[in-house]
Amino acid sequence: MKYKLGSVYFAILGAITLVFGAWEFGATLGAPVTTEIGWLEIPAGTWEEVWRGVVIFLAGALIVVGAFKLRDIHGLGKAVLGSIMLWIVAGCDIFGRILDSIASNEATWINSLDEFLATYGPPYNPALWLLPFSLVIIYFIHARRE
Amino acid sequence: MKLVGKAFVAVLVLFGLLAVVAVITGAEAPEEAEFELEDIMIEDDGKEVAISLDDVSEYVMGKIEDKIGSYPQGEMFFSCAYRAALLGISEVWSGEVPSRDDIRIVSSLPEPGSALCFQYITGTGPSMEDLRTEEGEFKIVLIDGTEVEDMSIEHLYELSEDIIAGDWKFEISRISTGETFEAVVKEDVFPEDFFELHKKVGFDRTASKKDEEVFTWRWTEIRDRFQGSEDYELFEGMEEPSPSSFVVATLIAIIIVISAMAVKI
Repeated sequence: MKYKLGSVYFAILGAITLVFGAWEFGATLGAPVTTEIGWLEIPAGTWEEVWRGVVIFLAGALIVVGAFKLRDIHGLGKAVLGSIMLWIVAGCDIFGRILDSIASNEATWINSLDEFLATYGPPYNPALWLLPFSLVIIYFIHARRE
Repeated sequence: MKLVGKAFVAVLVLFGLLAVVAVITGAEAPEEAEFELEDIMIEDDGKEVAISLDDVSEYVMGKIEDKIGSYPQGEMFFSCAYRAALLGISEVWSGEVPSRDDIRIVSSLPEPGSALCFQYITGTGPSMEDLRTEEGEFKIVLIDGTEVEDMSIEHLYELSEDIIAGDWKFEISRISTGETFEAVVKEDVFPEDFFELHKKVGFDRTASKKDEEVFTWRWTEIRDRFQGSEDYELFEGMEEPSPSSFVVATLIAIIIVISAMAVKI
């Protein structure tokens, strides 16, 4: 039962990841799409974002493919690989925010408390939104071991 | 491996907590203060005169276009001269407003845009009779010590063919006291290929369309630096504002605490 639910869950998560990847990729290449909706921000503008889009898109593809065979080691492996790709992108964002929260762009060197906190506030990009949902894969890794 | 996992979890939890705090408190970063270019304040016949970059632009570009035609890169040169004069006056007069006839500027840069800017400030430029009462001093002395006698726009334009980064030196002096400040532009303000392109596009006439395009990018980039960067980013010897000793002490304390915690884990 848990594998059936897991398959549905990761199929949906993978599909959303795919869409976000394509969205980020397209926005950077100049597609007429919106780049900010409430607390969601699609980074667009530099070549770095093209790569981010490609990585997130492929992560989504791996998660979707893996989701249909989650019980199988190969299927789980693909979903794990996709999740890890997502974690790397999100990890870079988190690392960037940590650094931004400390160093100031101004001549003062260090941010004020408000600037420090504001760095951690919304909007967040897709990888950060998807990160907590992708952590569910850890449960399936443990379940596989048992 | 477990330690690494714990560290990742700790970072995620901390990030989540900070995000929650940021959302709850509605913390917003104050808007970044944009760099504002001040006017140059001088006294002419006892009256205070504010000289803005726009005033300089109108005068310089008008004069150059009359003599040699289109010279858009002139913006870069007079912007530099304006910043050098602004810095030099603030350093030498330390907040006082200088009298125009007490200002002497010696430039090492043989180029019409910067020269006209300095002439406008010192009141020594062509057709300035209606714009000033007093006159300061301005001359161009090349880095080899030769003084340029012919200050016509056409001649200065010809001389500018071989300018290099080392020519961007300007001496701003207070005639009454002899106090002098030398504004030397940092070499890294100029992209590596700038002077080569300047010669190729402006003088050799061997430049391709691509060269002309790149040259335009380069001089606009340099112009933007002169119009939007802090003095310490542009001129040698200017120090970046350093953090207070309190901030440094706090940082060191935080680093020691984190290191101690890491060792304990």
